[in-house]
Amino acid sequence: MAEEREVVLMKGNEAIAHAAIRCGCDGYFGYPITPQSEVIETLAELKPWETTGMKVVQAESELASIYMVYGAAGAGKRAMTSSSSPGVALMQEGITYMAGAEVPGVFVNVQRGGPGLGTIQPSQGDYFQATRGGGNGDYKVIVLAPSSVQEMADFVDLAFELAFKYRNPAMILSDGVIGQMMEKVVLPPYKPRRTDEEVIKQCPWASTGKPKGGRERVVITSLELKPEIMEQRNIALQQKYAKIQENEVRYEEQLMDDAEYAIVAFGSAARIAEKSVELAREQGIKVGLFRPITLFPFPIKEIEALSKKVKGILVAEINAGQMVQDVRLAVNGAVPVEQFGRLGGIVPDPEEIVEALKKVM
Amino acid sequence: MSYLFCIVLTYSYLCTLKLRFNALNNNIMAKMKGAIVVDTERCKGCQLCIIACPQKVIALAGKVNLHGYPYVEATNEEACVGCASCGIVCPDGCITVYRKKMEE
Amino acid sequence: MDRNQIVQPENIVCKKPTLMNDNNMHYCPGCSHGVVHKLIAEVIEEMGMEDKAVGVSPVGCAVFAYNYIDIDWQEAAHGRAPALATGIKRCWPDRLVFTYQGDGDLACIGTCETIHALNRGENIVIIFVNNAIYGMTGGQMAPTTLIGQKTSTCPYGRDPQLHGYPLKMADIAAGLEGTCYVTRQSVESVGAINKAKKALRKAFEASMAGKGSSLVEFVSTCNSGWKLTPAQANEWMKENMFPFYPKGDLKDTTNL
Repeated sequence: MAEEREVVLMKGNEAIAHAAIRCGCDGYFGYPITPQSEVIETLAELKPWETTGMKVVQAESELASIYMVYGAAGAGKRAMTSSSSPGVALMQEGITYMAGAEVPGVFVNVQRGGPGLGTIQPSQGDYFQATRGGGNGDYKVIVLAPSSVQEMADFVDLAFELAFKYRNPAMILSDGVIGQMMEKVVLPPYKPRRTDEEVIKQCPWASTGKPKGGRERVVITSLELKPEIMEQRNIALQQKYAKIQENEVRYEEQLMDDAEYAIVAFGSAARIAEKSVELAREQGIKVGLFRPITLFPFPIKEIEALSKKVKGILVAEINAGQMVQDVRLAVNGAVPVEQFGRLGGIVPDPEEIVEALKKVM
Repeated sequence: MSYLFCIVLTYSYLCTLKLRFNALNNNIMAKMKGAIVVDTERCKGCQLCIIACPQKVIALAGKVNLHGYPYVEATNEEACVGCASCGIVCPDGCITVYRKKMEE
Repeated sequence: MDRNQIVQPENIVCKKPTLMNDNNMHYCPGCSHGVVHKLIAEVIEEMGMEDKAVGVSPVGCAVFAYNYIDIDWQEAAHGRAPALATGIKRCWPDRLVFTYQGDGDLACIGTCETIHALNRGENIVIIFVNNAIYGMTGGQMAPTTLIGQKTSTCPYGRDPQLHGYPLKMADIAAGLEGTCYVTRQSVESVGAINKAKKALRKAFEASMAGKGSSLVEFVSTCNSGWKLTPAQANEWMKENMFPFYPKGDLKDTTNL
């Protein structure tokens, strides 16, 4: 049977909405905020509750949104939300609760300039918030960084797969460029939503209702007052993160085979850096692009290996210097590592990155 | 004359009704016998059962349980009619109440 | 009659509900939480819904409600229980979904979630244990603390100039379009407990019949926070809380 593969032109935000319906998402709970309101608007227009049965709720705030996701995902359902930087700041408590209670919620951050209310133009200033954890305690969220509308579509199902595989919250860290730009995208084929029986079978840990004469009651909680037990729970979480680090790293390399220098960039900065690599090569500079796709787990080993091949690294990111810290940790002083970024919602030109690269050389 | 006779007849009938009602009442009270079993390790000695009991069945036992709470016991169980007021108001569900109809 | 003849299983007229397990509850002696827990356990069992019930516990004294009633539970962040319940009920429409919240959880940090979940008419029951104080954290003022009432953060008595006025959440809820049943009950006497149980049953039935949201407020005591004995606390509640938070149905469009 031939798979139906539709090629359409749409915004990154719209692709998230379409992909959510097609990957069997059970519920979307969100709140409008620029530059990602198209996600809930598209869902509202497509009315998936009439076709696949997926629920779409406009919540009263980002705070309520993340907790609606927590409730539905804690009951084993594929639940997601989306927001932008200030809204995701509001969600941090819910995210740490999900991490502590091991609830597989999925959320999307279409980043904008900050700090505070900031601006509505794009930025990559939430790298720390995403990878260091903006909430309290020792936890990690699986972070996928798309750099195209195609990846926005593909990463929704991937985020759910990883979230449920590890019973951990997972996020798609996008930005206003990817969210708003229009590109050709091959939408994923429809996958039916799991039936209630399938959910109960696949998620015995979820609060689906304690069967009469069956298993013990399920309690989805992040609370544990006995320190000895809480330490064990935390150790188990750390072991889980180590496993994710070992198994789920994703990245992309372009023109690295003969590269003497490397640009490391993610998301929309990587798209711009692709052009920068092209321009630099025209000027005779042998540079390649290393693009982390997972920001947690960060491609530590791969960047360490890369640092043994090149003479210098430029980290191009649209912030004041966040991912550069992780690159420096991986490089461990082997070669110079510099950072270039623009702030305040300004998106850099490819030529600016080439100039910055020349300063590294 | 017949009017007076009617009044006397009515009054006598009403008196028998009252007597019958009293007898019935006493029989109901006499017919139910209750007993309580207190889970003393669950009891926290809040004494709300003592206040709720209409028959003064329950009192503090003068002892404490393993958690350090003084617990209650039925010190006057003869008077218990199994109304279950104690069990209903108990915040910890400590009291199991039994009730049985007495055979004459 | 011999006592042994009376104490037989067939003669039981009152016992700990089956859905309450053997864990000793951590609540203070005489706390209303215990009675409300019993009613929830009894009603769920009588409805035969123990395999379909999902409770959402709060932050507050009742955070450990999930340790006592033998159904599935989720622990919510402070005030967010109605949002969790919304997520659960929307994705599992045939489940009996309820929240269990205190006055800080529901009427302070969670006011927004409470009002919006109720107003959206989510088919859930919000159970509100209102004892006009923050018990778990040591007796601070709550949004439902009465004028003149003394707590650790208003030691000279609640003063409107400094602290504003107490909030009547049930009245607000009754004015919302999405609610179908809003009631105030109490659990200090057998009569009150019997009425409260019927109210709780009605609310649960209404949520399963898709009639909308319900708020069941239990005007309650906190003898530790109020620094009274359990018996004194009941009296104080009757004298002071009942006149300000009057009992009865504020709204009933359930036709049940």
